[in-house]
Amino acid sequence: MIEGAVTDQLGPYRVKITRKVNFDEPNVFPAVNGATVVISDNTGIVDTLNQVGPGIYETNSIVGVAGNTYTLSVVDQGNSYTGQSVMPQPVAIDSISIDYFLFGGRIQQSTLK
Amino acid sequence: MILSKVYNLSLSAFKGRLLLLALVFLVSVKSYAQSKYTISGIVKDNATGDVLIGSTVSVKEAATGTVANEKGYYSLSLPEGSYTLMVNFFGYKPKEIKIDLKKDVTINFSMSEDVDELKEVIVTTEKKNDNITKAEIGVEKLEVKEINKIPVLLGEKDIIKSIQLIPGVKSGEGTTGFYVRGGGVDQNLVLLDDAPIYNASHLLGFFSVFNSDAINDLTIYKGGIPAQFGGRLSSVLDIRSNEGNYKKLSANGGIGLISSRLNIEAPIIKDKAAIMLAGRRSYADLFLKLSPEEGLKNSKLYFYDLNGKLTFRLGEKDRVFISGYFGRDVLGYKKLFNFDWGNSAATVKWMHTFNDKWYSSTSLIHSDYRYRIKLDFSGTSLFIISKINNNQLKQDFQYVPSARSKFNLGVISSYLKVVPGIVTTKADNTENEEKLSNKVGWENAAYVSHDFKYSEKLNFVYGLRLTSFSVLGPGDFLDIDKNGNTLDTLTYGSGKIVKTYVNLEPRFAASYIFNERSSIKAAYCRTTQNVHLLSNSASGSPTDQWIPTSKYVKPEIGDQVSVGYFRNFDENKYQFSAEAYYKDMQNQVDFKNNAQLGLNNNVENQILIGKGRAYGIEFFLKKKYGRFNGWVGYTISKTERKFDLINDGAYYPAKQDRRHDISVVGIYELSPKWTLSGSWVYYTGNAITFPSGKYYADNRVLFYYGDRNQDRMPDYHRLDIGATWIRKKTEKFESSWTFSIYNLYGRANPYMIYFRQNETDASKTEAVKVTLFKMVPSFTYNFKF
Repeated sequence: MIEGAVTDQLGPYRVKITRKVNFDEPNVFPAVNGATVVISDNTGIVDTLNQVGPGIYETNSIVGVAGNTYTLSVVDQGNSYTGQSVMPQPVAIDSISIDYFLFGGRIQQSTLK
Repeated sequence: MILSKVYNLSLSAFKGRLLLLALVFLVSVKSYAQSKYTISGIVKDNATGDVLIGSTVSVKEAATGTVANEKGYYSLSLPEGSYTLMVNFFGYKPKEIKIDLKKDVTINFSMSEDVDELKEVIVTTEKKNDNITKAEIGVEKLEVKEINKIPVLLGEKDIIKSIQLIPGVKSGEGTTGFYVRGGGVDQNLVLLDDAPIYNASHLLGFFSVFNSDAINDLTIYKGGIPAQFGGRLSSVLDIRSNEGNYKKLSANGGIGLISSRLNIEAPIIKDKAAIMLAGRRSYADLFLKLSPEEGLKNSKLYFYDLNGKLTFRLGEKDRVFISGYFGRDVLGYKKLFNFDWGNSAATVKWMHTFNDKWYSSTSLIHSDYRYRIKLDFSGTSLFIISKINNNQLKQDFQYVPSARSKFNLGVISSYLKVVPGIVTTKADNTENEEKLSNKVGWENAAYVSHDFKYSEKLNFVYGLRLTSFSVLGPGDFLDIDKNGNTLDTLTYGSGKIVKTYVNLEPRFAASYIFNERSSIKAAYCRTTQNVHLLSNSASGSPTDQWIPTSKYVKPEIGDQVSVGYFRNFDENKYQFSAEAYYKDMQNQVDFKNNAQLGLNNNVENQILIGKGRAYGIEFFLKKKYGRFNGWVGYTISKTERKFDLINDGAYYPAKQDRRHDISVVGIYELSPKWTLSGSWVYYTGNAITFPSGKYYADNRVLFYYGDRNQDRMPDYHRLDIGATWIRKKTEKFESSWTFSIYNLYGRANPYMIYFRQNETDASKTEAVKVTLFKMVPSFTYNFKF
C-alpha cells in the first residue's frame, strides 16, 4: 500500500509504504524499507524522497501548485509502481450547514456562516 | 467436376427420400380420409362450469381415445357404427354413453365431482405417461393442490418456494428470486395470466407476490421453450389464476402467522359469467401498533395483494376474461421515511373457437412495477419514484388439423417504458425536480410452432420466433465501447427509432419413444432478451433497476441444447428423468468494479458486456400417484461468465454457480384427516468474493478484494416438516389446520457473511456469519365453503 499526498501547503510531504497481509493475520502491516520513491510534476520538477522512518519517505523541495499534474513512482525489489493525479483548484466555501436527526428523535439543525 | 457430380447424386438421393416421405404422408392422410365421422365436444365440470382439461374420452369398441385439450375440447374420428363413449377425469365420476354414428356429431359432457375420490387423487391434466411421450423437455407442471402440502417458512404457502425444489431451479434462503439452469433472476419470464411480473418478491424476498389461493396451476419451462414464449433467456414460469365459479358462491381462506387471506368465487350470471376475488394482507405492523415503544409503534412494514378475475362465456364459442393483480409492500417510519413498491398487472383475453380446428385468442396486457421513496425532515423533503411499464397486444391462433398435428402461431407487439428515476426535493418554498431520462423500447414478434406426431415412436415440436426490438427516442444516447467508455452522445426526438435489432429464434424438440415406459428426448432453443436487471446484491432489492436494450446494451442471446432420458416404473407410479443441458449466453451485463448505480443518468457506462455458459445434469425421481407422493431431485452444474475487464478476461464462477443441489420432498396421506409432509434441501455454497487480504491506509484497516467470485459460501441444508389436519369436512364446509416446522434441526445456515474489525481486539479482523431462521414453528387455519 503506497499512501501519500501533495498539497498546496509547504512541504515536506510524506509517502508511507506498507505491505498487505492475509485476512486472518493480526493487523500488523510490514513497512517497506529501501524503496526508491520519486515525485515529479508536469513542469519538470523531480524530487527523490529520503527514507525517514520505517516505511516512511519524505520530500526535499517540491511544493504543490493547484492545476499541476503529479506523478508518484516507487521502485521496490525490482517492481515499479506509478500513480498520477491533478491537483484540483481550491473551492471557496461560503457556508456549511448540518441537518441531523436521531431515528425517532428530535430534529436539529445548525448553520455556520 | 467430380465434386459437383457427387453433390448432385446425394441431392437426388435426398430428393428421393423426400418424395418417399411425401408419399408416406399422402398415404396416411388418405387412410384418414375414408368415410369417417367426427364426434367432438367439450367436457365440463357440472358444478363450476370449468372445462376439464386432460379428461379422456375413449371408445370401448374401437380401443381408441383422445384427451381433451386446453379448451376442454375433444375430437374423435371413427367409421360409421355403434359405439360406447367413456369419459374419465381424475376425481370425477366416470360417464358412459352409447351412440349410433351416422354423421358428424357434437356431444358435450357435464361431469360431477366424485367427492369420495377427490381427496384420494391429485387432480392432474396429464395422461399418466405424458412425461414419456410428449416431445417437451425441461418442463414441469405443478398443481396448486399439490404444492399446498409442502411445508414452508411461517406457514405462508408459496408457489415460487415450491418450484425452487425442482432440479435446475435454484435459490437462496429468504429470496423468491430464482435461477434456472445458470440464468439470472431477471432471465425468467414470470407470467400471471399472460402479464409479465417484474418483481415477484414481497418483504424483500421472503415471500412471493402470488397468493396461492388465487392460482390454479403453473408450468415452468427450463429447457425446450416453445416458440409462443419469448423475451427472457432462461425460463418461462406460466402462472394461471382461478377461473371463478359459474354455479354457486364459494369461498376459502386462511389465517396464518404472517398474513390472512380470503378468496371468493361466485357466479354473476349463472353459467355465463363468474367472478374470482382474492386478497391477502400481512399484519405484523398491526402488532407493532400495540407496542409501548415509540419507535416500533410508528413503524410500518406490511404487504398486501389483490387478485381478481371476471370470466364470461358468450355462447359455446367465445370466452372472455379480465384478470387483474395489484400488490404493494410498505415500509416506513412516521413521516420521516416511507418506502413502497409493487406490481400491478391486467389482462383482457378473448378466446374464440372458429370450428373444431381453429382457435384464436386475443389479449391486451398491461404490467407495471414501481417503487417510491419519501423522506421528510421538518420542511425538507425528498421524493423518488422509479417505474417500468409494459403494454402488449397479442394475437395467438391454434390450428389442429388432426389428432397428430397442432400448430401455434401468433404475433405480439409490446411497448416498454422505463422511468429510471424522478427525484423531487422540496425545501422551504422551493421545489426542484431532477429527472433521469426515460428509456423507451418497442418489441414486435411473430412465431409459428408445430407440434407433430410423426409416428407412434417419434414426436416433434419445432418452431421459429422472429423478434425485433427498436430503441426509441426521445433522449440522449451514448456511444460506448465494449469496455464501457463513452465515445459520443447523440440526441434523438420523441418516437424516433435509434436502433433496431432483429433476431431469429429457432426452437426444436423431439422425443423418441422406445416403449410406453421409456423415451429419449432432445431440444435446442434460442431465446433473446431485451430488458436487463441491474442488481448488485445476491438476493435482489426492490430498487434494482431494469434497463431496456440500447445502443450499447445489445439483446441478450441464449442458446440451449438439452438431452434427456425418461423412464417410468411400476405403471407410471414412479417417473424418472435425467436431463443434461449446455447453455451459451451472449451479451450478458455485469458491473464494473466499484460501479455507481444509484440515480445515475449514465448508468450504461457503469456496465460491462460479456458472455456466459452453463452446463449440468439434473436427475429427478418423482412419485406422482397414491397415498405417498413426492420427489428426489439432484443437480450437478456449473455456471460461468466471462468479461474482458473482470478477472483478466478469464471465465469465472457466476454468483449463482452451485455445484451440487439436492431436494427431497415427501407427502404422505396418513388417514383421511391427516396428511404429513417433509422436505429436505442440501446444496453446496454459491460463489462469492471474500477479502483475500487487508492493508492499512487513511489510518484504518481496509479489506483487499482480489478476483471476483473466487470463494464459496458454506454448504446449506435444512429439513422442514408439516402436517395438515382436516378438522371438519362436510358438503358445505371444510376447515383444516396446517402445522409446520421450518429448519427442524436448527442448522445455522449462513444468510450472509460479512467482515469487520474484532469488536474487543482492534488488532484482529473477523468474519461474521448471519443466520436468519433456526427452527421456526408455525400454524395456519384454513377454511372453505
